[in-house]
Amino acid sequence: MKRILTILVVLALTLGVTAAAESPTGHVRVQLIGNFSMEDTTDQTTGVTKTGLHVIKEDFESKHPGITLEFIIMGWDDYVKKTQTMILANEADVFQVPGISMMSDMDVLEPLQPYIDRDGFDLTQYFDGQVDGWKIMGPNDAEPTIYALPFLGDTRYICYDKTIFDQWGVEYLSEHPTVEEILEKAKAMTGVNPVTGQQNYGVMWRGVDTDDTVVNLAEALGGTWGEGLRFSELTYHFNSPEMVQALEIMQELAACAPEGMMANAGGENFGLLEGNDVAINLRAMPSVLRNAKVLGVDSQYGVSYLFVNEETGKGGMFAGSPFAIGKTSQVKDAAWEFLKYTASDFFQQYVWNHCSSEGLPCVKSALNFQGVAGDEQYQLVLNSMSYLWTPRYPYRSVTPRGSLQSAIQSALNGSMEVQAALDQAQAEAEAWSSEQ
Amino acid sequence: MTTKGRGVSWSRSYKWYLFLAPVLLGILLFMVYPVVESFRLSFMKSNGFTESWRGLRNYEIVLTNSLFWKSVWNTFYITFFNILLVIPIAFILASVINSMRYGKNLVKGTFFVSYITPTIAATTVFLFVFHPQGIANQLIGLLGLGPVSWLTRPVTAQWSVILYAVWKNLGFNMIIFIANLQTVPSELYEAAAIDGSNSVQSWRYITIPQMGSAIVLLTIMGWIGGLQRFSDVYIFGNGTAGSPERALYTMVTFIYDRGFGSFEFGVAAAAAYILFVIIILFTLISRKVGRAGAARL
Repeated sequence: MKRILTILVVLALTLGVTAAAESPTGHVRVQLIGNFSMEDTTDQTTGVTKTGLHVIKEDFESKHPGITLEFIIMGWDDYVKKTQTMILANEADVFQVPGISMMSDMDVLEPLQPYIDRDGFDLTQYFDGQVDGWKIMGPNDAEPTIYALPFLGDTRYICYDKTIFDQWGVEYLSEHPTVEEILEKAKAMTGVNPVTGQQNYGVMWRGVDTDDTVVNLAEALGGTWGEGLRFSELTYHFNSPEMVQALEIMQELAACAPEGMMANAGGENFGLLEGNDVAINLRAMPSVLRNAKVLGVDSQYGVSYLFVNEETGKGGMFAGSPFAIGKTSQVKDAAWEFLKYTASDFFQQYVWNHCSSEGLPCVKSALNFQGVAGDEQYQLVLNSMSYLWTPRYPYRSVTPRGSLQSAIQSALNGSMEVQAALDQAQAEAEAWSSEQ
Repeated sequence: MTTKGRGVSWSRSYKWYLFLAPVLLGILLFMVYPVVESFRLSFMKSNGFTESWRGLRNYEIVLTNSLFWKSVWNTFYITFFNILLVIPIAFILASVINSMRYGKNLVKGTFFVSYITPTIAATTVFLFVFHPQGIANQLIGLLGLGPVSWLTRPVTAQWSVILYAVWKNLGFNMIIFIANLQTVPSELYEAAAIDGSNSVQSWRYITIPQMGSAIVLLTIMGWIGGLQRFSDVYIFGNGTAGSPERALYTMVTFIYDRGFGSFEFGVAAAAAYILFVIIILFTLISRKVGRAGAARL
């Protein structure tokens, strides 16, 4: 018996030492973009203390004794260029790469599928579409490939002011409203409010993202923005019948919106305590609901999903932020450990509690987090991430987006006919792709 | 001079070059090298990581691109009207301030604040000025005019930038005029007064002709600055979109859009060199026209 015990102890020690020897070690430098801080800070809106990233460093290092963590925090200005430079100079190992599509031809990121396969890393823990949304095609890839894993989610949803609906006697929006429903209700609530006597507007959206709203309308009508991932191989559907119809609908919606909406003017009070005069926000950001909750007016607002393409069940621009490993990193295995860690409940709960201004949790378990569980509005907002169009619209970060925006503005201003404007955007986008 | 003397002289001047070395090195690294490198890049297809030779194709892409020519038109339109407005207004203000007995420095300082205000801060404030419920609409409302949706229509958006630029550059133009006004010999005014000239006549026939060099300088500087317009239209026009309808898409926006937006550094470098040639040409034309005009004042 004693001998068996001795053998078992020796075996356990040997296995332990071997395991320890195989555990990745090293100093991992993580680049982060945005309003992050190592130290505790005070939230400007709520006055609540936001815990700094030091808790992440402490937690990660305690779970990975051989790895030390360092965060390099930078601003959003020119982040793609800065990230490129940092990768080239090997100034970090893990990079936040929301502009990953810009890097697809550069071959500067490490493909992650071999690491995922090696560790059997479970990708189903993320909300549906969150991994697919960040796939790109590197210069040697035959199909969309995983170069980054999400750590911050983001979404848009339709938000509406129940008070205005009640005052006009209009039924609240359904959970998945159709284009016709929005149009009908927006028209019904544009004019002088029968209760307050104030001018009301049926609808608003984020003016700088008018193109995203039009594309989303086109998706609801069965269309798509186009196809492809590599810039030189993109096929655009900017002047498809669905896009033409979507822009015509947008013209009708624009008549129900505050003057100046295209320049982001006129809907500033939506989600605030008082002064809101818009019934429906077609592209609400997560912060709208968060601020409404802080102000205690969230019960006044209802939430619905964006429009979806019935065939694919998807719709709306995909957004958020993923992490990738730079090809120049000398500690790739240790960096991979950090990427896996960002899917943990501890990290994602930290995002939810202390970095909500930067994004949303992107794992399904977030639906059970304190503050989310039982909150129907947040449940819908988080779930809406699963419906977003994937992979991300690749044209959105390059010149063709400007062409589409300009065409939509021309049509909404009446400077050009809808078809002619979209034909021009299509021609400009195709010409741009042919130059790549 | 003896050989020894020449040696001492060389040694002395050599030492001064040593002192200048850090600055010269800085100029070489941060001015000369980027200029040369940009020229090289203008013949390459480059995304910052990979490069291949492209010859004159980048120049062809830029020069045959309708968007580039639209950006040229926008840039010239905004700059032309900015200069046309700011120089006369600045001169009139400078003349008034120069004739003030009290509070001259306070007024000068007040007008100069706009020039030293950071562009981003100033344009952000002007977004509220041109808001549908902003001050601009309240002011035109006093004239009995209806509200204008300034930043959603191409023409009004361009005029928003022009008005902003006038406000922004007024202080600088005014200071240059005041400096020039103070160099006009007082004897000229005294002699004119003896000859029976009133203040308006003195202003027209003595002051204005003396302002030729300032007008030429401010016109040239106005064109050089205006052709490089970027920060204000970036804020007013929703980044590189140049909204609305590309009305605020300027030449530098084109360069930035293609360079840092789409990572086509070769195309951006070619556009930058075309802009460089345009600026040189326009500076020469402005100088020539300005001098001819000044001679006629």
